[in-house]
Amino acid sequence: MVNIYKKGISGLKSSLTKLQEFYLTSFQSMIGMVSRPFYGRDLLEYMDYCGTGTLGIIVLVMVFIGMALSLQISAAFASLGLQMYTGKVVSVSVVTEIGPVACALVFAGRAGSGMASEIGSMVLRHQVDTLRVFGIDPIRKLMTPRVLGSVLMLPALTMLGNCAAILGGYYISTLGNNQSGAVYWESIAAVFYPQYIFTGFLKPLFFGFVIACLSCYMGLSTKGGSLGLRSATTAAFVLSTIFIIVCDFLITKIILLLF
Amino acid sequence: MIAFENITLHQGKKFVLNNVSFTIGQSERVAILGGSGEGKTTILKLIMRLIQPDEGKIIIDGEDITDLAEKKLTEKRMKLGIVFQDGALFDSMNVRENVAFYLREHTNLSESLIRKKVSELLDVVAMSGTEELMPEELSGGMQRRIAIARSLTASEPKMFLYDEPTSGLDPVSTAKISQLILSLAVHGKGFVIVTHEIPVALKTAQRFIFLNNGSICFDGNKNEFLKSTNQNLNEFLNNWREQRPMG
Repeated sequence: MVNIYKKGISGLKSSLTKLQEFYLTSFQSMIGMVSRPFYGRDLLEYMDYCGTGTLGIIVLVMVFIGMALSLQISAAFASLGLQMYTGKVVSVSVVTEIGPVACALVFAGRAGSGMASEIGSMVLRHQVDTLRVFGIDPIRKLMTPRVLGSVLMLPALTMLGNCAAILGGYYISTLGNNQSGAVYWESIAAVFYPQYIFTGFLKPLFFGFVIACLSCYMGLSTKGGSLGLRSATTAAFVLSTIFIIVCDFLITKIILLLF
Repeated sequence: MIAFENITLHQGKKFVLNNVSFTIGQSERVAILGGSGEGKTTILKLIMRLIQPDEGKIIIDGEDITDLAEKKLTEKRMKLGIVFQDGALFDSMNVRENVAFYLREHTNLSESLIRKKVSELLDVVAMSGTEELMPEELSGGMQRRIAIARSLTASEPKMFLYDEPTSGLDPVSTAKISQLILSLAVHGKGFVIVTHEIPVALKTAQRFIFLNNGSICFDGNKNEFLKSTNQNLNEFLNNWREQRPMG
């Protein structure tokens, strides 16, 4: 009993220490955005990797999400004679909820895991130690460009993903369910309500920051060879997923309270 | 130059280093030997203060660096050139970019001067003509020579630290690396080499430190090393004695 209690206390201490380290490294990465040295080339390279590299997957996923959503909503609304609202429901749900969350999950899977494994591998192969020996702060050099790159790219990717989902919905509504294309586009105008735009922009901004900070932190704290690298990469994705879902709820709640 | 005073380091409940003390002069050629997991690499990381000891003091050039802030440590680290196991070259950069890394980050030298300096350093390690190659295109021995060239860019190191510089290499590459290590140890520049390869240690070093269970169980010159009566050291040496060719 005493042993279980001691283990519990030691586990709690270790978790709190890691949480503290995570906050500290995230804060240091933010400081790196506004103070020298800036690593512009690394930022551009990373934006290319996570932006251009993830765009295709996001568009593909979002087109099918839009199509599936349109199918479901059309079917449900058909019995009520409300098919003309399909476009509105698809667009509002995509822009405010499904789009930011789905894009963030794809981003965490592709770019986040990539960050964790790349940095983790650098740690294991003493490349991060080499940076420190050369007087270069690994957080500024490795983490800041990735965090900034993610914060800049995820909103843009989400916007494009949302467009792809709405187009997917349009395809099913008009060609699959023989609805009027003009009615679909007219109903989409509802999405330009400030609350929805703000929600659709704020969520990916925040998700991008959280995914990059978590993945980089997991990468930097990699220990113990290939098994450690596997754990770090898995933890980066799992924690990112949990944070995305929880933060999505919290941000939605806050925005609904504000507007 | 380097002094450890009662350094202790734990990993969980296990001692990695237990009350380790030694002093190494700038011009000394020291080999730290021991089996796997005895804390040899940890000693190099502590000298560079890449990790912090749980107890004890690390003194470099007369200054206690145990609790020195990361920014101030750079100056101390620059006095020592370190070559990590497997070279630790940056995968995304070619040889020129790897060797020029420090110069590009910390100096305002023109591109032509950087290229000239890189060529000179590659000449020193007999790796001219490899500037455009990526690390994955190089053999293990070549990667380590490039890493040695890179360690020379930072400044003029007073001492070199080598972490298993010949592990996993063929005999020819091992001989080349050993020769390179000796050729850089001139003008009063010493080195600390961490290895479990006794022939490499015997060829390059003058002083031998043997680690067992996280403690120093032998510290002496070549003659004392080979004739030591220390049981743990003898077990370590016997395996090599049985395998070495006669004559």
